[in-house]
Amino acid sequence: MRRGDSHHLGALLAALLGAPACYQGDTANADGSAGTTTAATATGDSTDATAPTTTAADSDGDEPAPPQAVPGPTLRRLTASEFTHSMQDLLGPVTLGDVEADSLQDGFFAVGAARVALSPAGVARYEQAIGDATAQAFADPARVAQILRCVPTQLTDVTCMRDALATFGRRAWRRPLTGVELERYLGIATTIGSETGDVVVGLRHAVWALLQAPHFLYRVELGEPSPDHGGRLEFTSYEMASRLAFTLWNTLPDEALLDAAEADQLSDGPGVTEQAARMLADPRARQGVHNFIAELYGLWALGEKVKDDTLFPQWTPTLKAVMRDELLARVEDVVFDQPADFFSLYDGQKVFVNNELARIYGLEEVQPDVFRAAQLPEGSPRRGLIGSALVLAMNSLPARTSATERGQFIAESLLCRTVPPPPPTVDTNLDDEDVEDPGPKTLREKLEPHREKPECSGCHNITDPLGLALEHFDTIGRWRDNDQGLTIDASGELDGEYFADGGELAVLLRQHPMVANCLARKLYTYAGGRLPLTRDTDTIAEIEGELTLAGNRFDRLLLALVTHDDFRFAHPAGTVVAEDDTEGDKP
Amino acid sequence: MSRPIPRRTVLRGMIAGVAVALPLPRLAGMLDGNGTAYADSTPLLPRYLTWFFGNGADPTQWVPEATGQGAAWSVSPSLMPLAEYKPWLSVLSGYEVKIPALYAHKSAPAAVLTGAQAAMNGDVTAPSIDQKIAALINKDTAFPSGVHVGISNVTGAGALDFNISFNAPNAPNPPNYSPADLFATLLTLSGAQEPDPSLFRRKSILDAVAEEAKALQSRLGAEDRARLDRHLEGVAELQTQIDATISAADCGTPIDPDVAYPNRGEDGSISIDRCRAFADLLAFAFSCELTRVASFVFSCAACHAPYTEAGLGNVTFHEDFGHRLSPMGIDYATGGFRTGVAYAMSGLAELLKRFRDTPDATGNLLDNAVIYTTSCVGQPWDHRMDDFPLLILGKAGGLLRGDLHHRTAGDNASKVPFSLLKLFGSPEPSFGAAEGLVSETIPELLA
Repeated sequence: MRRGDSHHLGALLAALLGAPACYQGDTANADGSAGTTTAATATGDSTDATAPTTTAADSDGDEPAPPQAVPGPTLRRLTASEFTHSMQDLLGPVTLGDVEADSLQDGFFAVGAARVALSPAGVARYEQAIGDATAQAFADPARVAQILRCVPTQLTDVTCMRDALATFGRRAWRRPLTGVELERYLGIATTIGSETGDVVVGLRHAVWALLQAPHFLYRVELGEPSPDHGGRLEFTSYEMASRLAFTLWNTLPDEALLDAAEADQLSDGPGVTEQAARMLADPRARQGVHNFIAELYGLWALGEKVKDDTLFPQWTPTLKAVMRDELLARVEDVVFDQPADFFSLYDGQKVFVNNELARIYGLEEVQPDVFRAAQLPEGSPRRGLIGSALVLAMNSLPARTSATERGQFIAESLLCRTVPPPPPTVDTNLDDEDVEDPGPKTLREKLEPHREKPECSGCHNITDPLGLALEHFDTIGRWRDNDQGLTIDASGELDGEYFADGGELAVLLRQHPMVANCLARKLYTYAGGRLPLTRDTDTIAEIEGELTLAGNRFDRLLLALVTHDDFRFAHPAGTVVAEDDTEGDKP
Repeated sequence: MSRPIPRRTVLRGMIAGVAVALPLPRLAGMLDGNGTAYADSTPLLPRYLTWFFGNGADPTQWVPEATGQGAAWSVSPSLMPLAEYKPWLSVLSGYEVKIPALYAHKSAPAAVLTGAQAAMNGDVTAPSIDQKIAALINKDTAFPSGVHVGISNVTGAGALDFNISFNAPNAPNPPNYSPADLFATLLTLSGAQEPDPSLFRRKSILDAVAEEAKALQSRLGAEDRARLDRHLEGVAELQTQIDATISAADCGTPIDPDVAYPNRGEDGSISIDRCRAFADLLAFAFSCELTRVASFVFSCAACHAPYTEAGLGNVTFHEDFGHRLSPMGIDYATGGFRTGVAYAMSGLAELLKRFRDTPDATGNLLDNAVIYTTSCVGQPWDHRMDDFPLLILGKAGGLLRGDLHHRTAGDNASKVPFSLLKLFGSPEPSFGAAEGLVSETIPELLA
């Protein structure tokens, strides 16, 4: 599985229409039905064809959209990353065994987590991983004193046991335990404590149980009906604490956030804003942004990315690791350290390297070799995300570049355009075309048939002209003057704007009118665990507006998202909402 | 005709108020005079396994030249690694996936595993054949949903994720890639170890987990209830395994992969030693009837992993060979693809060897098993969905003829899984949906 699967709606439509076409906008509904997707058909000789620029939001026109059944709030299993961070917050540093892998849906693990069931074998994996982790953590009395607010010395110290389980339980479940629940875990601790003659062993088993409960393993954020808000569901203060923490920190709430929830301070806008501002200033916000970026750019796939080792011996595990570190360092720099316009990432020339990566970028090596910020030379055609070694290498084949994959990254991840997969029973082998003229060709020449054949051109005209801009960078991201001795033509057009090379394309991308909306859509999908419905368009436009007003500061986009009404309210499942109906839904 | 679920157990008792039962390996001495049923006349049940390899096959190398049974046909070049098991092999060729290929490596595997089109999000829309069979024959085992293992954990272009076993849409059974992990689980169930008193503690904890999950159910919508039900199934399955551990009969000891195959490579990497390790463990689990259903993913749909051990370098098999994009040229790529398919079959051969060498009832495990082998595409460089790779291995306790090459001209590939479903006694009159729907089986397969 590579990046997202958001393009399959397009594939369906392509198949139904039987025509070469490409579609854009993440407009599939959560139930898989079609949103108001606009087909932009590009056929025949389409070298002049402009890639579509309108979004679903722009193209609603006057057509009345059919009412949509709204999916209600759903349980979300903690992603592997949320699980790891939460376990470490609760137990301190522990080695965690594998739990059942995340499922990627619509481009995000966050979406898979809201839909896919855990397998029976996955339940056993949790039992084992959590059992091993609690055994590690409870082996050290000093650690136990940090994990539990009160450590009893004997089984008769029920007050202390109760206090220990109540506080641990509140943190783990992101809400206080009920009386019945607390007695249940106290019972486990007492029974096993007396069996083993060790009250701490008893508590360790109660903790093992608390962490296997669905209230820990799933985000139980279901909301409660709110008569004051048109029958919508309002998330409780505790649910808001959980939503804020997983969205902003990628882990569970801290005690301060739970205290705010206990005082019911998260049931209105100002209370949420105050906590969100505090949380964004906390170092854990970096962890939250890392995870969004890792999901957005599909960094998980780097691990399995292979290069032909006879041609690219430089492709080492350490190079892969520093490429990933660099991408995250660029984001942290722009979001937190400067902080600056997020889209300066798209065309900036500040990079982060060690000597191994400096060699890829053609920069000076230094002694001692440290991970450091560096500036690309002025006038360098390497600019922005699309010039980063990670993006170039991730979106290439083992032995050579791929204009199609690189173009797809730009189209899907930065511009939210959907690129369908190739239709069935087409020969995707470019080299078959070479039989009549076996001489070397540039990738642009090899891809020519794809831009000309009607069954290929609709989509390849979206991806390839963008990807070909990066042909001066080889499959591991190094600059090359030519391709097998042949001159590289890296010029092209993005929506009618000419660019001479990848550097100019990067500048056009930064200025592109779609990038802000696209970023807001991606964040909305990630935070909500589902693709936006057409009716969410207004919300996305509003948080995009906040982003623009704030000079494109990403932390302000996060703040706008979590303080928006849509983050605090949801519709009951199955509510049918007309497109222009924002309040007073009819269940 | 629906078959009753057999309750063949040789060890029953009450431990801590819990009824426990665990089967022993079935050996000839436990059977009736004809060797067709247990002494208490419960019928023998064959075991079922789906064996999946990604990236398809080249029909010119895969399909045997002659059709017919026994001496009438010979194995093809791609199937040479299976030659030793020809008596148990049924090659079904000329079958076609009729479901429209909305996405090349996704629609086809969904069709041959579930009979139905894939969902737009990369999921299936119906349960897979192994789960339908598990519902018929596996409920009384320690792993009611089956044991699911995998060799390569490298993904493949979003096609069905890593999975080939699906209990329902959005309910996959992801493979376990760790032979050491499966060994540890099977060892506790084998009776070779003393039961640990901590087992009762684990049970009391799982009771609490189940209570919490049940209490939460009333607050959930239908989809979440289904997901939590599945979680509860997992809790119940774990409880069953703990009961089985407490009462474990001596089933011998599974082969420790760390001893037998110390150089098998990392979990998730492809090696024949990893195939051997899982083959040992699956033969053990089937022999003891710890499960009667399993799945084995050699490589997932459109798998991007390298076939390094087969001499094909550290490049993605899918692109360099499946799509023949190797910079070494098309002849090298075509040859390499054929090498890779034969390599996958040699991984399958390891399973067949263990099954053949494991006594079961009056014969061996291969006599009493059904192994359905298929892939995600026909000929891969054109993403073809006709002449699909479809094999059945084993004789299903004498129900299958074996040693057969049966060829059709474009018949519906769904007939293959449907034939297997009927073999296991399903009363269902049809299998699949839309273009994948069939109501006929393949009579030529039967003895």
